[in-house]
Amino acid sequence: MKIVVTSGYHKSRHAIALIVLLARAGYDVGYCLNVRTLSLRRVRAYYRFYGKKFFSLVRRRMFDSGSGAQLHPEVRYISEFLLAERIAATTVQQACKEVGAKLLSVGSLNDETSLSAMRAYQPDVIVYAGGGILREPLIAIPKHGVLNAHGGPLPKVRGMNAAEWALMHGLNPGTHSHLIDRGVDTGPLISFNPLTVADDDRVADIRGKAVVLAVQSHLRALKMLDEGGHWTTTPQRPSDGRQYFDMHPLLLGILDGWLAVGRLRNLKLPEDVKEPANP
Amino acid sequence: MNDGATTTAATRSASYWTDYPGVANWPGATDQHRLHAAIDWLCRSMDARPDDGSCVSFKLLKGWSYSYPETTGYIIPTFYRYAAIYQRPDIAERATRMARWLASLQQEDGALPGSDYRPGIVREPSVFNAAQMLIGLVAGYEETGDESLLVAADRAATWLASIQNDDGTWTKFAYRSGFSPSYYTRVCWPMLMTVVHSHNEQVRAAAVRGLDHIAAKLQPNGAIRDWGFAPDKPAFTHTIAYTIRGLMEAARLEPNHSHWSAAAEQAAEKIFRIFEIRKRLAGAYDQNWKGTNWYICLTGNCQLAICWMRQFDATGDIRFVNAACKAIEIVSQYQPLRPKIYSALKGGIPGSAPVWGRYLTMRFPNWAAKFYADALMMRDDRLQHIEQHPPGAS
Repeated sequence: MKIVVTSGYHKSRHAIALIVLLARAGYDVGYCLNVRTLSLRRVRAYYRFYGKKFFSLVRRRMFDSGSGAQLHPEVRYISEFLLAERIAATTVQQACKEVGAKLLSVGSLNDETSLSAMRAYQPDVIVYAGGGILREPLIAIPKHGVLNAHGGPLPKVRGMNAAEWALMHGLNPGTHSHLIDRGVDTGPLISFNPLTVADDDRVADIRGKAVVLAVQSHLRALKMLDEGGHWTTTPQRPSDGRQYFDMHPLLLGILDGWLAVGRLRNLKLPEDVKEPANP
Repeated sequence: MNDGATTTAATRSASYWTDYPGVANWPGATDQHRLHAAIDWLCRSMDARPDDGSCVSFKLLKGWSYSYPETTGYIIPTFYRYAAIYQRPDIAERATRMARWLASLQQEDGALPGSDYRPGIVREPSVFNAAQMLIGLVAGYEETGDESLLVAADRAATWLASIQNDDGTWTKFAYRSGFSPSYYTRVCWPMLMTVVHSHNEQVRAAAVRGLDHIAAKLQPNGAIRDWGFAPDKPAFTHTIAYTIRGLMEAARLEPNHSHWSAAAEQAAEKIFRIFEIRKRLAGAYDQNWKGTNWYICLTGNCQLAICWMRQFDATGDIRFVNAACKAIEIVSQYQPLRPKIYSALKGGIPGSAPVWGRYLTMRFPNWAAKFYADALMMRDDRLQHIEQHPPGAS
């Protein structure tokens, strides 16, 4: 099966893990579409989104050496996962070299360079691991579609900070595998992979665990496709859920407070899921 | 973490005196400091003139201007609320003085004057300004039980009803002659506030007529026609929020008119999505939601944050509180706490950001500080409510 992985930046641990593990599982990872970090358009979009916080994020990413000792919990879980899986690559470039995939650096996943490479390669699946919003022309290229692992239960919680918003509504966080369509997390659903919230977890831990679970969800979804020849999907209606946006620190503080005093113990799972599975 | 969202009124009061000097520690000031500074600024705007009104604004080139009865009216409930939360009877006493001052301005036919207050000059009445004064008169009556304030409010509301056209519009005594804007929802809402106590059916019927007329101007894209200062010109977020809030609050007082709240919710949700996607609000929007993006109307940010929190009250949708927190945070960045030129600016909120933006250019209006203080107090209430009601809690 011909696979393409997207990547939001050149040190994306999420993308590195996917490239290596998909290749180890026997998939033909032909390309990684890596969105260039240094594009004026991107910097402007991020600045508009993060405001002044953008500069500290850039600093953190630029000088983040990958050592586990001082890592933020959001990054610690995926770093430990890479270690456990004996993945030595620290950049997307190294991961591509290791598995023999081509690395294509693009300004945007939807630009002409990206589209013409994909039209020529004709992938079976594009596995989304970051890089911005996808437009119709790219979505239409892969035979089985673009696979995403959304950070919260769909269709209830669409959009940004899905794990946090799931918790805010007493829903079990997890990753929901689905196919990307034109809307925001409105594509056909494949399966939900819940994660267990431990007593001492805080929001950052849950976000960190969700990144690892996203990698595992992709592998599971592709295995389903491999075994069945197609995905059995459930369509969503736009009215089935709400779109959420980035959560303000004051609300994140409330969530952390609830987690600290154990007020989020009875989280609800979607009806068709029986047991949470820890990453 | 949450700026006192969980503190009780008593501890807030205690911390007032110890925390407030911390305002000097710019930029580490908390939102509590900012709220106290905004209220102090409003007190200074009151002390700048010998009457009991609050000055319309501080102009960067000319200093304090004259007292403004219109906005003094709606500053009154802000002062009462702050006084109750932080146990400041001196602020409540100021609010009562303001209300009595407004009543003293009433004309023989019940009308209340427009424009600013200058001793010896008789101003022409104004529909919108009179209605904003009603807010203060009713709040003064509710707080003190002083019947003379209710009598003044009822007379003013009756005057408003008497000059209304049959179709629910007001074209006399308008800001722009002959134009009855949609933000007159904020004329109808104070009329209904008065009716709660006066039970004056003539006033109630006029308010309902006015709101029905405006609610019918809702466009399929969520905009409401004529919600700016002039027809077919982009509307500042200030008057957009006036329109939405008027419909929302009136619908709460008259629950049988669900089409008012439906119109308000559609407009509020539309602008909420624009804000969340673009991460900022424009200073003004036209009827197709094309924004004038080069400046922000800061008071509009605060007022829309208030509308979103009222939307949360009605629907329980926490996304609206989330957006309100962000909109307020943007305004906080522009509140000077250690101004280098005018100490009078400390705690005030400019009309626009940048300060040379098109809304109240180079001025710090008293209503910007008022709506900022309201928004901060409401936000703390809502956060406290959310914190005390985790999902699934009995």
